[in-house]
Amino acid sequence: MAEGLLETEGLTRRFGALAAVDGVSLSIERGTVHAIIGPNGAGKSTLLNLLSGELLATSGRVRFRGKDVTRAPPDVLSRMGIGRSYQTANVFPELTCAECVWLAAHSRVPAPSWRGDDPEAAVRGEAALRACGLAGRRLSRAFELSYGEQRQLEIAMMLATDPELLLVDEPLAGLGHDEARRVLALLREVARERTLVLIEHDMDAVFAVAQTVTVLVNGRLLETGPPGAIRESPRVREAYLGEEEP
Amino acid sequence: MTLPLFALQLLNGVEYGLLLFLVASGLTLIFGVLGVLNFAHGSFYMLGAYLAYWIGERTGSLAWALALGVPLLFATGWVVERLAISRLYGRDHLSQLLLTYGMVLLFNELQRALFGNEVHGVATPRPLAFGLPLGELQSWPAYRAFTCVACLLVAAAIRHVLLRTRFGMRVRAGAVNPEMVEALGVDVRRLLSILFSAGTALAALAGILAAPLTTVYPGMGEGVLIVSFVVVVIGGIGSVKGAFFGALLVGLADTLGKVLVPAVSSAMVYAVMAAVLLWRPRGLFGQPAEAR
Amino acid sequence: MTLPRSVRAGLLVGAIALALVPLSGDRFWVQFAGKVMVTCIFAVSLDLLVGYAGLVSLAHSAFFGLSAYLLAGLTNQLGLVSPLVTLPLCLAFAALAALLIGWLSLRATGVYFVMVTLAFTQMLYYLFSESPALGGSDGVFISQRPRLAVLGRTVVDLGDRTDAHAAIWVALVLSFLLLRRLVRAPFGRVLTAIRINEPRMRTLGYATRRYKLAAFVLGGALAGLAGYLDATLYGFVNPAQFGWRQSGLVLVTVLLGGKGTLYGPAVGAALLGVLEHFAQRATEHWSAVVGAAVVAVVLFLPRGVAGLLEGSRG
Repeated sequence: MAEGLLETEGLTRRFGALAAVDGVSLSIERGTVHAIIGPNGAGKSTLLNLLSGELLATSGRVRFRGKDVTRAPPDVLSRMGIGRSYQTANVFPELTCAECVWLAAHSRVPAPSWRGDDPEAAVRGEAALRACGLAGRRLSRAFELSYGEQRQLEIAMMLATDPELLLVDEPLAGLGHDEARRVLALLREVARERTLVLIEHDMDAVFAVAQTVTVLVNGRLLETGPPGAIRESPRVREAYLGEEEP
Repeated sequence: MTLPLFALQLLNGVEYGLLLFLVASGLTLIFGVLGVLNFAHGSFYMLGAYLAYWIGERTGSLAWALALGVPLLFATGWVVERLAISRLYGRDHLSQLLLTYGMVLLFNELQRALFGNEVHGVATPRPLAFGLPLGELQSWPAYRAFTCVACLLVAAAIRHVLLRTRFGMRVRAGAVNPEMVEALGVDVRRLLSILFSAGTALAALAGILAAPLTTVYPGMGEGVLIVSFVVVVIGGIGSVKGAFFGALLVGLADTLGKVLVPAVSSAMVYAVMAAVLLWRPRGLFGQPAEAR
Repeated sequence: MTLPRSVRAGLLVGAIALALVPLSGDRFWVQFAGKVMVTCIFAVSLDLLVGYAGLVSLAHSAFFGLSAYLLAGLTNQLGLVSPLVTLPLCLAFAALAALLIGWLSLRATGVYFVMVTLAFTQMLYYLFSESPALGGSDGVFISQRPRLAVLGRTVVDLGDRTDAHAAIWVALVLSFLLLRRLVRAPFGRVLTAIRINEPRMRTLGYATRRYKLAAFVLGGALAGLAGYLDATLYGFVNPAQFGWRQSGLVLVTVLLGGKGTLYGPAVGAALLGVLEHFAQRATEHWSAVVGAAVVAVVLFLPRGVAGLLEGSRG
């Protein structure tokens, strides 16, 4: 079996006595959409933070493209090709959309420019904005955007760093039906040549886009497999999908 | 250096550390719970010392200074909190630093206008003006022992309040998560006022106790303030336990440093702080940084 | 970010007025203007840290003082007088000190950072005020002011009032233009974004600590420039230049003028200089006046004078 793009081995993170993520071993295959689902408090966001380098693991390993990156800081992981988008919009409120994506794109310039501007970054930033449908809002400050638009800006910023692996945390949370459809379509488009790790509660969306689904419960990996198998699995139904009863 | 002499310095270091603890404990809670960088904290220490001198001159008794001074400075702290400090909640560090820096300038001039530029001595209370023998040649002033005991009693009281009362529970919660204090209910305003006033009263108490030992002089607030900040940082912001051990560490380092390496003794305390922070960037008992 | 035209005009007028002060022939005002300009350089260099990188540093006066003391040492002990030699050495020394202190301090964040910078500045204060070899608490007189000689003829003599004034003016203008260029370049925008949301910048791939350190070193070097010029102006260095009082005062100028604007702190430095001057004449308790002014500014004018001038922005 080919080596996964991102692999974890016994990944654990403790807060005091609580193990938010407990011995999780999974493999993210290149070019797939890999969803992570589970009840609230299952450790999904913690897992994502471990993968992006924002949290340091208590034990276990993370490998990206075969290299051990367990202790790598977030900026190193980002430059290696891991992009991150957050559950609550994590942008630069007082800056304009154009400035936000410019910053994201500029991060890929090898040396800090002490001299003039960076037109290439501006171009890539604008392209990301357009891809996310925000071209018309480029001069608006981030705090002026609607919630849905801020999520789109989030994704645009992630795109502007041209990542190989995208870590996306509940992109559809708090969005209205139309906005959610737009963002989902955007994600599908974006995921086409990349690898996407997605946390989501919206089961229809998950089963529509994901090739692999991993179920986390109480920090532990319950099951991993194709969406159909997960949906049918009695263990998963009992532990999680049963809670989805409206 | 002989053993009794060393023991003497050790005791002095502990005593200095315990006084520092009184000042630093208030500072660390004000920092940790109120989130305020209070540069004016040392001024309350100074005010306590000057009160000890002033009341001492008139009544000849340190006990009166304690009985009157502490409540008076608690009330002063309350007023200051309501008028000025409460406007600093949620503001950036620069604003807090500078507002309290401005207050220091004001307090200093106030002190100078009221008491002038001279150094004043404060008499040791007569019942305590004897020495406790250490070996054949040395003795340790009983007043210093009294100060140590007083500080330890206060420390025990603080510990009791923090660990065993509802007020203390709210304070501890606030030190870990200041936003949560808001969610805990109606009494937040009063909690903050009480906490700030208690902090200033502790600093003033330290000033009163220290007055017979250090004399009373302009600028004494700043010296203590800077060192207290060092203690708070070493111990970890918001941690009273950290303030206790940090204060002892600093007290001993400073006192022993003056004896063992006098040339660099003043800088010693800062070197210790830098070393601790390099090892533990959040202090000995501070909140570990979650974000990397 | 472009300034309102009135502000730009005002700055230009101010710069010209400062340049013309020596024409008045009044020795006091010439030295006063020189002192104000030196403080402007000091304040503007701090704005890079405070207003752009978001680093509240109490160590800034350390680099001011170290550069000044090195000049004293180079001139008194080694007889070096040419600014072509002493100036680069002093700037390099300040930058190196900033590199070391910055590297150590930036391991801490938030309030801890402020405290560590305070610690270093205090250490230096005690080091210089308690070492007889370094002049002790009385300070050190500089035996000769820097003098630039070409082929044996003195071209610029910083001991001469007019020459010194011109040199400081040029230094101020150049420093300001350099910093302005820098903050408009990507470097400045990255720093600002780091100040706004550092964790996000890290997950975008920026090695944020390196940027902050670069700002710290550059700011420190310019603080060293201010210290060099201050020592030149007065011919005297003393440990009071280190220490938290001095650091606090320059932070005041940054807040008073308006942080994050570059020109604001320069205005703040001028205003504080004028305020101190008149307060000292009015009362012996003049520092209470300064204290009250500081409190008032923090409470009622948080964006400083620049905030007033630029009106409310979005």
